[in-house]
Amino acid sequence: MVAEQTRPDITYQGTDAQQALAERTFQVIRLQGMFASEYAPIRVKLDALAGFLEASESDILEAVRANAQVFTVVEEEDTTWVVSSRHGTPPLDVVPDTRHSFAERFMTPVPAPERPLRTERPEPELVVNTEIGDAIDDAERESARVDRELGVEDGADAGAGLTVELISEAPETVEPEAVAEPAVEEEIVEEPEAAPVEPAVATGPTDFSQYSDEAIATAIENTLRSDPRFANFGHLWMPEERVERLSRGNLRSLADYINEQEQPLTDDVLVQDVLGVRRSSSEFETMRFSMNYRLSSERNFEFLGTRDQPFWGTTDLQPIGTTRRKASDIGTDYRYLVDEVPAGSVKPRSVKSVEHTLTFYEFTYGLLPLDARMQALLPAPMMPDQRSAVLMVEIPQFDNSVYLVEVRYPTHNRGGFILGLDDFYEEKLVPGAMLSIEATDNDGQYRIEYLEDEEKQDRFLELDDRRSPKYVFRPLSYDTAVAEEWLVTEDRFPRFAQEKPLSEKQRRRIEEVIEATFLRIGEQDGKNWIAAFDDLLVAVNIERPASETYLRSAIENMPSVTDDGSGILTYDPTA
Amino acid sequence: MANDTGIPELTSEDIAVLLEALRAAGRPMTTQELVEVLRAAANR
Repeated sequence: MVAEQTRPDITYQGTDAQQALAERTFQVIRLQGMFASEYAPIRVKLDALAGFLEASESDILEAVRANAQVFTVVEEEDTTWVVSSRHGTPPLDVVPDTRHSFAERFMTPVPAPERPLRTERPEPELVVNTEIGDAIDDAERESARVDRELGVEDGADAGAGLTVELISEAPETVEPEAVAEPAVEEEIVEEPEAAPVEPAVATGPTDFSQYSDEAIATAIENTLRSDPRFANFGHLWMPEERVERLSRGNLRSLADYINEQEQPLTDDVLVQDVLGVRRSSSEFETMRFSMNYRLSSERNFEFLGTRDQPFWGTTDLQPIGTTRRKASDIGTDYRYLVDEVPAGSVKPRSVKSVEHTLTFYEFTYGLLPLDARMQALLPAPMMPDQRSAVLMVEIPQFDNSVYLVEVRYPTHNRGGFILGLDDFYEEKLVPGAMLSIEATDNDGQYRIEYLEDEEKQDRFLELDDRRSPKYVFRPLSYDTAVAEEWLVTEDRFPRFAQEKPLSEKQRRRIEEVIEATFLRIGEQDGKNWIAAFDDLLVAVNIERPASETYLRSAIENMPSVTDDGSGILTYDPTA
Repeated sequence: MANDTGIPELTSEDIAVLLEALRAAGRPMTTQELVEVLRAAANR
């Protein structure tokens, strides 16, 4: 808003009369254009001025022309205009400046600068001394010779980009040009016609018609696993450069999620829940492979899966299964299986189902032995250094329960076993129960079934290890089929009542367990103890696991035990 | 070319074929699929 009107300070030219007339003329023009902007032209007709100022037109024209810094006279046909502005300056010619207009720039665009899409990096220069230069030359000549023998046609490129600059103290002894020029190029480029190369056996596609799929698959695995361009996880492959990377935050989130769930989780669950890639996404398979591949080299994560059902755990996760005995001690108890089932002697997943009768030891710790039959049912470890695998076991007859069990694979000094069935055993079964373990199409999923029977009750042996460990008999009812010869009841072995378990040292030695068992179940005959082999087998399996083969082998090597050939054994403590 | 165990030895061209197949697939491939890739390449 204009707060104050100011009149321009104008010095008029001419005579006094002309100055006075010019000033009055300017006042009339300002009055005419009182709402005009400062520099807008204000036009007044000469005759109107003459009438208003009561002066002659000629006097006004002379006064105006004497003050050209204020006025302009414009002739239009028969009308004369006196023009000025409120600022007291003659109006400027208003010519639109189109030199930099938007339209002009569209009509005449500046051509785009010519730039290469990608800037080539300069070839690195290697500066070496003469000795190393000679060694490089020798290596290149040798490489060229090998390439020619193998029929590598593009060997001429060998050594390209390598410039040898001499920094020897005695450069005059060597022609720099001779060294800088790779000898390889000369030989390879100039001599191919002179020495035609026979197609080498090592190149070109191989004729695989004579080989089985298994042989080719083995060749692929043997070759690509040592090639850093290939990423491998289980039976899957990807180019290493296409494998997605996991951030430290991703790894932390994966570990936290597994630990929060307090159990190993499958790769499906982890990719969806933690990495946020849906199963329907086109990236899902690639992301799942990438996660499996990356986690396999992380020390905080442990692969616990099979080919069809990859589980991942962390080092912070509680182990699956009983807490009554350490897994390493159970593995030591099954040491005999390492000798009974040598590594590679059983083909994994070669049988569909296995029948098994529970021993007291297996019942107590909720496990199954990884003997020859069970190894033929289950998959081999998928990873080279895999210690264990988590399997899903469905028990349709037991409220459709699904258990996560852990297979502990055998090592060179510990036998294998399956942990995690203690709840099921305790709630449904008794020692001596008969089970059927069946494989499914998924090598990580199995089914356990049992025969149902009319409900019975008996007093069964139990290990009471709450305070001072001891064996006790307690009544149990059961409605599943059992193998009578494997029942551990009070009627059969009454002297086990209140017995304390053998020490760890005694348990480790099968001979000591056999001797102690004779005293617990045998009939005394003078200084000897007599027991049937079948009873001894069941009762030894109270303290520690032992197969029939292992027990017979042990007894044969014990001079204190004799077999009359009918299955009745005699133990002479003094022998 | 086979070694003494009856397992073929892959040539550099076989390996290049496998790498190209994996790049073109845009997803993980199984060992069996790679076996089929090699057989198809040999037939061509």
